[in-house]
Amino acid sequence: MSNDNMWKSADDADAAEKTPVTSMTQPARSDEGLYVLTDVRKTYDQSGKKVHALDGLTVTINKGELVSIQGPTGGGKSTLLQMLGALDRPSTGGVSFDGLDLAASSDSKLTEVRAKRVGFAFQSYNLIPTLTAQENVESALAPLGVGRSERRERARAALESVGLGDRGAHLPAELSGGQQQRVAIARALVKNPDVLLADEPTGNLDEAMRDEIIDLLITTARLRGITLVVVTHDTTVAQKMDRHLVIAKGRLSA
Amino acid sequence: MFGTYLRRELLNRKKQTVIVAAGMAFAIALVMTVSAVSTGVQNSQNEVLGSLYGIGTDITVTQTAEPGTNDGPRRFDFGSDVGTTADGKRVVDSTRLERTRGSATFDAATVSTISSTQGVGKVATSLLLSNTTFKGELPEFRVFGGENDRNVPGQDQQGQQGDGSQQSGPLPTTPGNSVAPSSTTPAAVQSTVVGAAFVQAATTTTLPAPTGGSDGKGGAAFQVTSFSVMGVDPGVTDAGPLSSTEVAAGRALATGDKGKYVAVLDSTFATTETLEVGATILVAKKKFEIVGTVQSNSATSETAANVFVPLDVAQSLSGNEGVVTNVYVKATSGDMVDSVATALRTSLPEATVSTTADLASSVSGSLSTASDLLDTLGKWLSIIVLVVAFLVATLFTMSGVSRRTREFGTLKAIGWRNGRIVRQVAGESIVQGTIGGAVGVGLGFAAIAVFNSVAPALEASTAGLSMPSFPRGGNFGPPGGDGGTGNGGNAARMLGRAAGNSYEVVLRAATTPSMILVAVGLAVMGGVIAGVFGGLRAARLRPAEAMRSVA
Repeated sequence: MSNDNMWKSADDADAAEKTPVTSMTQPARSDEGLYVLTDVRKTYDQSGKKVHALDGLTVTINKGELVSIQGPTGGGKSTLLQMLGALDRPSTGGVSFDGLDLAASSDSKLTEVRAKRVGFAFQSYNLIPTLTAQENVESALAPLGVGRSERRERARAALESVGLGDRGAHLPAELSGGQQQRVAIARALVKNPDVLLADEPTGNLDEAMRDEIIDLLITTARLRGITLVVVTHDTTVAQKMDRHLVIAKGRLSA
Repeated sequence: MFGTYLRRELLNRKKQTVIVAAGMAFAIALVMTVSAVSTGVQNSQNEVLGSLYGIGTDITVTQTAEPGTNDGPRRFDFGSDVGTTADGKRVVDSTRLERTRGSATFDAATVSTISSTQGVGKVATSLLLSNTTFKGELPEFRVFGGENDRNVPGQDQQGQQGDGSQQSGPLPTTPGNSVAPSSTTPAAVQSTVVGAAFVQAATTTTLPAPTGGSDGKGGAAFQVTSFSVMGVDPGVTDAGPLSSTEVAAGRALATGDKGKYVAVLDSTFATTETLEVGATILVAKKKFEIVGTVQSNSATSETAANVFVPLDVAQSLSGNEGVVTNVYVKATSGDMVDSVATALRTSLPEATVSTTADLASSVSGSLSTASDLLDTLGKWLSIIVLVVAFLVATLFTMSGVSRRTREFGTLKAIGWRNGRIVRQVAGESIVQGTIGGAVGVGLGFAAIAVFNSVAPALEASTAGLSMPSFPRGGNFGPPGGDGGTGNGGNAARMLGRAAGNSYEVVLRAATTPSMILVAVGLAVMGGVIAGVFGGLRAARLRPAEAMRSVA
């Protein structure tokens, strides 16, 4: 099965499962706002002291857009990514995802959004250490109720698409950092998400591997019309994106 | 995915799996061993009690005789014309078949009352008797008094004279032993049998040297033999005294044996007395054909009597027509035993109503000590070890969840619901517990095998049991203290029997299928508890916090 066919097949299977908020049938960028964040504030209580991770952030991210987020450590980048990924809710303000108010959604609804429409890639890859590469990729399909044979086939195709078709039986510890990140990307893409959120995806990789990974992300996102949001300290990576956001002290900078 | 993930976790986190499973295995093995030994103790108690009771019997009803109703001490009285005379000896032979002392009887109406009590399924009855034979040689009786000396009428006749029920009459004498003429009247001359001594007393001043008797010098020799006889309902073997026996040779008493002089012997008694099936045994001087021998089902206990005969025959020969000494009750179900016992105590306030539990509390000795030990130390030790094993499993599981914060955070990030994560964690713990349970059962069997190879012998004493139906083997001795035997040993045995019997019981731990199921169930439950706690902890992790903790 070619990669194109695989993705098409995956799209068709996944389309029925997704909430009818939007449809990703055409891999194209749109100016329609996929994310609309309005005056988002997130406050943490650290040892009795209030910490404003996000402080009145307002931003819109369009469908199919490739966005980089940069800024100093503690500026609110990861917190913003968690809001976009339905991992957390703002203390105040609105987070609209394709018309769905994430701030007002239940835990169950947020879990459903994450399961069906959002893919994650992390700096530390976050693979399950006891599962093989193939099984790690399959784990993203478990919440979708995909049957075993289809799950295996889709995971195998996803691994092939990131160049690891022959590494499916390897445990994460048996793979290099770049290979582990490829497995993590395969896991994020196997469910054909609308959004791929990457938190320092190349932070642990050398330059050559960094370029490979970021090119893989960009190519796949453009090919499939996936909205890609990358948090990075690496200007080289950021410059490859369509739009650059800089966050400091919980707000967008110029 | 569930199975794959579970298998991978268990295989790739072997250390935790081994520790949790080992802890659980140890606990389960201990619980199983204690339970098996406890069952063994219970079985031993049942063995001891079953021989008293009959294995199928739930309740016995007996009645202790009221004071003053035994007609005084039992006697063997010999008249002047009893026995066989030869060579200056008088040979006497007398037998009594009577109820054991201290026992009272129930009539048919009482048995009917018991039978009609709600919850009573089966009733068996028995009449416990003692067959005692007094046999010995005495000097030939004679009367002192010169010309008035005379032989006892009929003394020259050979053969037995009566059964010893005659009252004392004029003192006898023997020809050739008469003393000098005297003015003393025969009535003034006394001769009395007291204990083992035959004492001659006369008002004459000069007595001739004694002759005759067992030693030719006026001595006497006695032999007192006794064995227990139990009249039982022929053909009833599922309750009552024969329910705890099995036929060793010949056959058991059958319904058609009613009214017949047939007997079944305790096999040990038959061996001791050199009696076989087909031979005869004298009971109350009547010949009974031996149709079979029985032995206790238990290696550690004996049958309830030496000789079993049809109830109606026993009643007739002993003069106890229509009455019984023991009633054995089998309840319709085990749940009914207590209520039946209560009802019988109410309807028969004079009777002693004993259940198996009542008797079990009367068993003492090291068997009882072992039982108490298991009830207290063993039970609590098992509970403590089990709780510790559960805690270890729970703590290890929760610790594992803490170590896997990133893992569970990641799974939540990719859309795993809390329920799926709880199931995953609980599944791992349950499998660990089940592995521990399986190993524990194996260890338990090994420990039980070691225990049984040692096979410790415990002593059980039934002292304090006041059951008339308690004639064990070696049931010898006279029914009365003044029968003139002078056999202190037998009297001592009597006292010993009255005070209770001691048994040596080889304790064997016993396993049951339900015990194994409970052991595995406990292991699974331990896994469930650990898994639920661990799973809930994992479920409470908020994905954002989980991701932050590893960022």
